[in-house]
Amino acid sequence: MIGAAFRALVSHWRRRRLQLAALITGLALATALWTGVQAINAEARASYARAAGEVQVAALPQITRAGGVTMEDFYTLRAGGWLVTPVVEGRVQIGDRSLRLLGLDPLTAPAALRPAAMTPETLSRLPVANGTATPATAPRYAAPDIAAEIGAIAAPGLPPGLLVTEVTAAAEMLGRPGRLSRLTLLPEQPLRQAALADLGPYSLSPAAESTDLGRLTESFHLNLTAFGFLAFAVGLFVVHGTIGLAFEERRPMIRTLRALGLPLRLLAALLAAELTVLALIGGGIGVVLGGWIAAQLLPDVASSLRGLYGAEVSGSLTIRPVWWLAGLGMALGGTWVAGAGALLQLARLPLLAPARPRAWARAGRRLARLGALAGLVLLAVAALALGVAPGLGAGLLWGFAGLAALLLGAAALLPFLLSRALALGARLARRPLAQWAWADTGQQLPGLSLALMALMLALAANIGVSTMVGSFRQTFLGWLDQRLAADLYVIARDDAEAERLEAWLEPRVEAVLPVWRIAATAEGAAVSLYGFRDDPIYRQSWPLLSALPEVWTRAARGEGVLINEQLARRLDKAPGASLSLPGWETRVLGVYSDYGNPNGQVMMALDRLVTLYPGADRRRFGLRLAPGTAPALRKALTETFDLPPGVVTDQATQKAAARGVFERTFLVTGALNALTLAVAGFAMLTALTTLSGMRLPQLAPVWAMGMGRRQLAALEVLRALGLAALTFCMALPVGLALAWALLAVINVQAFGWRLPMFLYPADLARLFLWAMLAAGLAATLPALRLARRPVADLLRVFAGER
Amino acid sequence: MSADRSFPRPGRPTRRALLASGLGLLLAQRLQAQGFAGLGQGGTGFALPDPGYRLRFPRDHAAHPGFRIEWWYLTANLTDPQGRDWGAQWTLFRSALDPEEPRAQAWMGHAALASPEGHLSAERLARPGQAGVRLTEAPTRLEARIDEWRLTGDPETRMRVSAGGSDFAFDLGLTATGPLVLQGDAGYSVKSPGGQASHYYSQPFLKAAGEVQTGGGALPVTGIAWLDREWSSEPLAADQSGWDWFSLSLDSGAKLMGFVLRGASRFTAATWIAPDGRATPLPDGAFRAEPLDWAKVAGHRLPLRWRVRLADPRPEVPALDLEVRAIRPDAWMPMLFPYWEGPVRVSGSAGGIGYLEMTGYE
Amino acid sequence: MLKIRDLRKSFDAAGDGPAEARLQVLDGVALDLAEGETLALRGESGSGKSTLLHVIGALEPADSGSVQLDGIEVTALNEPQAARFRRTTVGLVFQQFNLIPSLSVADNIAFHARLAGRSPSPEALAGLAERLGIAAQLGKFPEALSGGQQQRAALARTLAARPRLILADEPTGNLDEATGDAVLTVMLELTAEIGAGLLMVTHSSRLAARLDRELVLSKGRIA
Repeated sequence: MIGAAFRALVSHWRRRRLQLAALITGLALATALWTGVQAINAEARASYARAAGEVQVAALPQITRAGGVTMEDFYTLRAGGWLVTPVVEGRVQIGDRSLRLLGLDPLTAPAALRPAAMTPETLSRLPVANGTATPATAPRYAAPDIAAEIGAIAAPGLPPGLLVTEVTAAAEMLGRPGRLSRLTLLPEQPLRQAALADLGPYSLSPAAESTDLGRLTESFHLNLTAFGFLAFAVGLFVVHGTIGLAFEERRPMIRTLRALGLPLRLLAALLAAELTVLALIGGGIGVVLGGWIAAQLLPDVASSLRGLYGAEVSGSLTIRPVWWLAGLGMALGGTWVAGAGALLQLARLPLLAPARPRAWARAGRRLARLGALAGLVLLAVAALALGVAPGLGAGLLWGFAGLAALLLGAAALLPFLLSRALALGARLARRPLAQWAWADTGQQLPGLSLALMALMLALAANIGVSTMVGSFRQTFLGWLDQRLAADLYVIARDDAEAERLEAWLEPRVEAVLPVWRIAATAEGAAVSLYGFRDDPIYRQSWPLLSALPEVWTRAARGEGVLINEQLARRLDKAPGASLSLPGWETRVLGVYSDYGNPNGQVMMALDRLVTLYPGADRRRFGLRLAPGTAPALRKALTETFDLPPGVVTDQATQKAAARGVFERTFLVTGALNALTLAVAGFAMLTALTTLSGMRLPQLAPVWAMGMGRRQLAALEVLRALGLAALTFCMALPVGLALAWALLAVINVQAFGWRLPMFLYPADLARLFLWAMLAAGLAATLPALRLARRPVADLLRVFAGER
Repeated sequence: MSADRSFPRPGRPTRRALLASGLGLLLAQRLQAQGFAGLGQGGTGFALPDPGYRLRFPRDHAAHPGFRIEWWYLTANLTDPQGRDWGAQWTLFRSALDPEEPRAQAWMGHAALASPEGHLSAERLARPGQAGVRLTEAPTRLEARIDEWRLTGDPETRMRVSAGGSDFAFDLGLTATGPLVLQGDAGYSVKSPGGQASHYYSQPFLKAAGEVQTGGGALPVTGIAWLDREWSSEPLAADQSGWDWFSLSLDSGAKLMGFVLRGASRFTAATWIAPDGRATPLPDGAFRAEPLDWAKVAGHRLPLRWRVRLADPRPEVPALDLEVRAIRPDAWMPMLFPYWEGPVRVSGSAGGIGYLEMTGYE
Repeated sequence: MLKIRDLRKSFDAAGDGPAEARLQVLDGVALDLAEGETLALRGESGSGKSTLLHVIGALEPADSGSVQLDGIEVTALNEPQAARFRRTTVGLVFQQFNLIPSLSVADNIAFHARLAGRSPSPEALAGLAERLGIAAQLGKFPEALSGGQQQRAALARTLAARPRLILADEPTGNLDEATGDAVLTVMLELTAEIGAGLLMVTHSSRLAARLDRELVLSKGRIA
């Protein structure tokens, strides 16, 4: 009995290969999107963590001495109880590759800084006579893709282009034995230490503060997470819709099976088993596809992802089963949730209930009303969470809850709004054909609503994410241009060198812009106080958000200070407000944007800073140069003062690096956008294909009354386009609200700065065309089938009840 | 022996474990892999313990870089003015990396303070330059150091020891109240029935006075201390998995050093040290130690109460039946080689205090 | 073999109307059918003929009364028992042909018997198809068959399952007169061959006359 029944159920798929393909493809695509986003997310998180690890260590305080530090200084400081670790940095040429060289001490470097393979054991294997290793015997580590080529040990997790080795060996390789780039002070220091001054002419320089890439990338990570959530939602809608339709189509068969004596429970079990098998197949394909997508989108993480699918890559062992489980779990969960509704309906429906779509349509209309109600409630929750809760100090979680409520609410509201719009259209229509078309579309709506919801979510996500990303890019790049206005940046190793540098530079550049600073506390907030020397460059390019008139002149005269947006938000200060700095009651003259920096900043006239805070760090300068002179000056500077790499940075490189990071993320979001849209389009295709088979009884009378099949088919396509256009109109405000929430709520909550929102009408128009294209393509196949349908099929509608 | 013996995570997690598992053995394997097999047990180019070697001082306070491994190991039982028990541990390990290059050494330091509030510990790894042992003669002055941790002075008269971590520090003056003691056969200490051995002497007669610090201010403490010195190149027997090492100072002024090496069979060795410093080495089996109570510490099941017995026909060796109990159960050392090391109190047929080290408990 | 007493069944008239607006479809039906007897059930539209057939076939529960087939009280069956009853004891032939579109005609014919746990031999199936004149259609799918052929396939499916009682609801209602007559002829022959009883609902007095006995159902009662 079981065999015969199962064969009958499964035979459906043999006859309906397209539908089977649709279901599996839908499942696979949804799973793939989910897995892909997860994979990219995790990989992005890992690479950010890696970058952040480097930044963190680079950002640790250092101990410096005039003329640079050596291994001898390392020993002296250690003997005095100052736990430092030596670091050597430079560039080396190996074969035709130019690599960044990082020398570390495996015994004292924090684990976060070391490649995983570089353990204390490394040194124990490496004879270090008198504390010095030789480059020949010191193990080298590099990213797996270049390790073999340059004779290094493969260290997954190392950025490409970086070669890590033992610190003294690195110094030898760079031709400056014993000399270090820096001595980094470890976070944990012993309770008792010698006074630093007693050990030698050392000074403690606070953590280097650069544009904090870690924070910015974290912001993107957060937004990617939001995107993952959206992809998941879209995927779930697709799965739900497809399965529901597949059940609906088999209802007559199910009725026959039951009439012939197949017990309900067995039938349900068989259907559940069938669903599970389909989910596993679709999910399995999806996981593989998702991994592939991720590998395509992030080429340099491909190696670690390949580890997912068999190749052993150390460190990814724990990830692999999780990926599979999460992907299959998503597929199974989504399928079961979708199937549960259908199975429940099956159990509840009387055996002889009509197997016609009318009943379904009626239920759909009730659902639409219910959905509208739920949608309104959800939108209210969203408004509350996004608009009110942040003001009450409720944080990020509320922001995300608000996002979820906004999207689900809008999706739930969609069928109702569409049916209203269609009813309105039917009322306004004059000609009978138009009237029929409007009404018939309304009839079709319940069967399409899940697919349309998926489309709307995909469109909203597209609009939201691309608006957010676009705004981010425009703001950030603009800000970079402003903030990195000077052509070169120089950090001297100590104050004496700084003075010599300044004297040397003065005649050679258009302007030396000291960036002197000191850490302090202002009204309870930790801030960096900066001194600036008045220069036209500030007036031209500094990114002011709001300011009093003549802000730069007045600030230069010492009448007040400028603060960054983060501090302004934290202390609730606007231009004109008073501000208490240590030893100076002053006024805020202006507020400037400072993306990517978690800390408060205060800018004041340089002489003010020097008078008030004699201990300020005076080693930093920006240089304004005549165009085209930067490379030559840089070379001269480095050679004259024998500066280690990293001391002189040019803004072009910094900008390029920052841009590179973001462009990659933009690329990823763009590709994911396209895929999400494709999935939604596919959902429409499935829904329309299934509906077209069920809609013959509605079409046949119109045909009989004198409409051609081609005309009917064209109408079908038109109808799909119309629905997609209406859906786009609904998605537009939702997507913009999403972008607003990401920029103005989530970002402020997470990072303390608010990004201005820009609209990109051209992008929106392009998206509209894409949506139309997707809907049109989805409608074309069923329409073609209709146009080619034998007349006999239509006639049969009249031959009897189907 | 277990597969993973490499520094820093050898199968034998202990100070003495370095004998079996430290850097030296790793190197031995490497050399064998390179085709230097057949040089015999321990024959990796390192010096071997020699039963005929006569220890001489101050010469032997210094490092013996020809041997693969060596340590300077000081423990102190201390009391503060309120009568509370404290314990301090200061340890420096040396590992030779290359028999051909005596300057190639790696160093490791462990320091711990068993305070009434908790067991605090710190660890340091170092290359030559950061750490080392120097000895000057006439007058004798030893300086053993890793980073700012120091043990200086003359073990036969006066020394000073200091160390600390981010949450503790100690600084103690040590005064010798008795002679140096040679363990085993005139300083040749056998570690297994198979004949593995080390050179081993101690200074068990030290009076300690100084200060300890945990977070708040410094606190004066007084008490007694014990210095162990040992060097070797030989691993332990293949089947030995861990040990229990007792250094006990009895109220009578006598001292007892005894250890149990746990393996396929138990191997014990001990030295009975009379109050005047006369040492009687005891053969395998004369010293017996049985666990009485077990407890879970940092995820490891450990015996924290012991019955220790001494039975030897010689008249100068008393028959003893002691109970040795950990003063603080939490004396776990969460190091690259984790182990338990902490102060103990002795009761039974004699009273006293001391230190206990336990290794190789899963 | 079949014994029906005081069978009652009502439906909601309008779906969401008040309770008193219920439609009494069967209002105390009583009838008997002897072993191997064929009975035609006539009546106007809405007289309850189809409902009576559904209740006998355990497709729908009755409100009250008794339906006994070979001593089995059909109205007392629970869902699994009812399913088993449909599988093994009765055969249903509907006005709509209810073939499974995704199975071939041969598989459709064998299907009910297989559900009941029997596997009719290919020869038996071929013989049956031969008798019903659809031997050439066995490899095709239902959609390729004419209405008469589909109905004959549905009939073959029921006969292959060898039920005790065949319940046929206007089996020739969708067929032209000649085809309908031919199908009925074969149906009566084969029903007699397997010794089953037949209860057939029909509008046509001409067809009804060809059965052993004829009853008229009117307003839920046997007239």
